[in-house]
Amino acid sequence: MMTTDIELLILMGGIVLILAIAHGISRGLRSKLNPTGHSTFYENLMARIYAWWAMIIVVGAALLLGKIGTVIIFAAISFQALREFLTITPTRGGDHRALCWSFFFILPAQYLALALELEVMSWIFIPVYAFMFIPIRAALAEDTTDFLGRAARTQWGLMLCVYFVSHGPALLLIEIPDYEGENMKLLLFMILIVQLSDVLQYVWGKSIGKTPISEKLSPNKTVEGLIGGIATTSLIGTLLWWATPFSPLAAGIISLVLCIMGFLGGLVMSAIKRDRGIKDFGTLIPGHGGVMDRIDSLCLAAPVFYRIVIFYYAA
Amino acid sequence: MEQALAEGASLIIFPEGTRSLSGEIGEFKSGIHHLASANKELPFVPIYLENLFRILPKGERFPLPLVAMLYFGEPIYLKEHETRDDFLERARNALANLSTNESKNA
Repeated sequence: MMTTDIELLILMGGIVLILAIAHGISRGLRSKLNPTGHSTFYENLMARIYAWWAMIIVVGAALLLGKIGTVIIFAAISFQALREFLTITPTRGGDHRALCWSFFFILPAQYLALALELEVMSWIFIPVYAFMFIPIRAALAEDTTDFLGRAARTQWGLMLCVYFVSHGPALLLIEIPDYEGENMKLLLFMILIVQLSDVLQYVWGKSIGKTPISEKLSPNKTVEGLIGGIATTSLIGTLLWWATPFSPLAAGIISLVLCIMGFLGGLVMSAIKRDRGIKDFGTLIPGHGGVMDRIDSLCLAAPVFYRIVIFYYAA
Repeated sequence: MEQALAEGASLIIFPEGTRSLSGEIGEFKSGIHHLASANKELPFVPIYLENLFRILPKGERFPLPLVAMLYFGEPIYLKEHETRDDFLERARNALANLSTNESKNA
């Protein structure tokens, strides 16, 4: 951080305070919810809280380290997400070289482009050049079995885990008049709204949820949870307008968009998991799934948020 | 090997004696049968290593950083009057069952 940003400190402090309260309440509820120690709801709740603490530590580290540190942290998240995605995605021997390039060249190059502030490169590198390179490399390996499917799966992995995730640190490069040096709050705002939306949909769903949205995809998600969660989160987003370059109304609308994209992103990831016949992407954090399970709602929300900020607020 | 076992150590054995070119489990070499004949009490624990074929196929230099999982099965013992081929077949099946369990979960 170049200067101490009071708004940023208030935002971060508020998040820590709220999570600490949530943690305390959940612990307090232990005797009521989980006298036998076998309540899956309670275990699930605590698992989520620990995952959020981990997320706060990661975001806090990013805030302290500034732009380059944030780029490195998101690169590490992408790397782990891509590992998890490709582990559950069938590929063949002929993909080996293309996958090596994905992990050890395309991913670092995408984040290097951000570190060097090569914005245009960061927009087109994966959707254009990696998109061409992956099938070329696989074709050179002369393995044509399921060729289109394999190329598509590899490209999807790069798009979801690397390209979309990299829109988080890319927010720091946008030049916004009267908001110079404050972009970190945009990143925090985006992560906060998407995560809050997840949480509040869960809380509303557990409290009054009855109608499942999709029995097939996510039996735990309900219409009541969705509406309640999105409405509450959008309201909170509106009230946080002061931390952003948005007007209160715009902050509310953008929060609404973030919530919807977060929900749809989660739905797409559920569909992928169902397709592969798994419940979670990984086992990095026991019982909590992997990194992919934690960032699923951010994947589609980040690029849309980024585009909105570029389109309406960039210099 | 027998000396190591006599000292109470555990051995890790790759009974195929090589890495598979196709990703399938290869034929087992007779080494584990020799060990089993020498010591009927010796338990053989099948361990299936998932994804290794994708992580570093034979002939490639760079490993992919995919997640590998180990699946442990129930120990098997050489039965009375069991032929070498039957024992090797049974051991191989024990491993193959772990791999199908894994693909059901994965």
